[in-house]
Amino acid sequence: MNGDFLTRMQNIDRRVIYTVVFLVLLFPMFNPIGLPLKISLVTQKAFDAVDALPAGSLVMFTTANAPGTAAELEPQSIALMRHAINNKLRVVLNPTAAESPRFVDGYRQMFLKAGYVEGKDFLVLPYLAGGETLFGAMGSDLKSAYSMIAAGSSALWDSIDGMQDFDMLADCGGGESQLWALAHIEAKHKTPTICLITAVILAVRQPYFTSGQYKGIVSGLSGAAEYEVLARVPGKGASGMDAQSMGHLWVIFTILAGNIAYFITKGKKSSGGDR
Amino acid sequence: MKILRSSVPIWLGVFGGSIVLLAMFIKIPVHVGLWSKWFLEWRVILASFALTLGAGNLLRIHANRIRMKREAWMYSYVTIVALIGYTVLGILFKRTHPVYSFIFDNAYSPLSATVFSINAFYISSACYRAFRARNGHAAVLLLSGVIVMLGSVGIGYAIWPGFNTMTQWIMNYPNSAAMRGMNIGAALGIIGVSLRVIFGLERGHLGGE
Repeated sequence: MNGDFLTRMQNIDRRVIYTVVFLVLLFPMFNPIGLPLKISLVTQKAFDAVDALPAGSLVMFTTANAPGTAAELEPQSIALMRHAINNKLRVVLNPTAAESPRFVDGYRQMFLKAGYVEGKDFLVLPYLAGGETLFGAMGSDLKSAYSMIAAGSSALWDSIDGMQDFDMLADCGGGESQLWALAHIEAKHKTPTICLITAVILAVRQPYFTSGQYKGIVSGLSGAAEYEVLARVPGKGASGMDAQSMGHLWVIFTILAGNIAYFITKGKKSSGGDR
Repeated sequence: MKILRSSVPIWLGVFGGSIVLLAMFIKIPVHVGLWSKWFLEWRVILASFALTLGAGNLLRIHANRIRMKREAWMYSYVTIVALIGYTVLGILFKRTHPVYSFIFDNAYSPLSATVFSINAFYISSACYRAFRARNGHAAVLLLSGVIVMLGSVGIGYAIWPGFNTMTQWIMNYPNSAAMRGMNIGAALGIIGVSLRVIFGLERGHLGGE
């Protein structure tokens, strides 16, 4: 193989790479390939934990979903909400990021369409700033943290004394909120906790799953697709998996091609160069 | 005034930090526990004020950029108009108003998602140029990365089902072990810095005194 070609190949214009990425992601969106889906252990455990809750169980869904992470977190959240509706769970929706109330409005509509009664079967808490301190305040005294909700305004809220009354905490976000949930709620009240996260932070959250602190993790678009299959609630997760598969394949191809070119040119240089 | 600038904030830190810390780990008298609860509640309220402070600071910085005609100063007008306009819209009409929703769904959401999704293009380019098996360590990292990438998506399972098993092993053992070490190290560092703040030894947050 020509040495000049290999050197040029290593310094290929990034716009060429960007264009190929675009086409590789675009193709499966219009021509679904139907690749198989293997359920990962973390998603299976998350599904099992939710599925094991008897009807009427109380779940808090804290979400830091935002437009930047919604491509991964929104399909996961919708699948979880639909699963909760199918299993007749009572849910308290709690937006913990400034952008999240807009997404919670959507989940509220899902519950209303399913015949849930707001204030009795589900509840939407107002957004409060504070990050970790908010989780600390919730773990310490939930009712005081949300003291702006008047007593008697909701039967569900009146029936709750604190985080100890929840049968599960599901935290959704691409930041640190899952760790705050563990530190201030799971550790204090032993509330079974699952998390819905972006794929890029799975490696950081995995140790808390292997230690048993998270009952399960739904990670990235693949986690959403797997949860949709398990809960039998088809959605956007599964439809996006072909594009993600092709994207991964393209990145692996670029790594291999770059390394092959690197080793061939390195070998030629060490043997006296290209003659 | 020195007392107000340095001594009072230090003693507030000592008092507030100690009580919240004690209440977290030790069974303490009821009234001390209540103070801890109050501090946490106040912090939530303070965080809301911090949002306002941040918005005010953003306005000040961009107003200065416009006044001094710094590079790309005209974009500061866009920031100021968006910040004030969207805040006023939200306060007057609430977030369920069609115009508020339209801007969120058709301007903010696509822009934010675009910035995040550009990572796919950067990662692809960076992998091609920089991810080289230059030595043994880099080769192990590269091989693990490729296996985990294949084991995380359907196409890897279609090529060879073993990729999935190998991915789970890598994530559960080497990854968990390494991440635990890093987490414990970071936690010890945070404990050290927090104790220095509580004991008044760390004063960087008071303006570097």
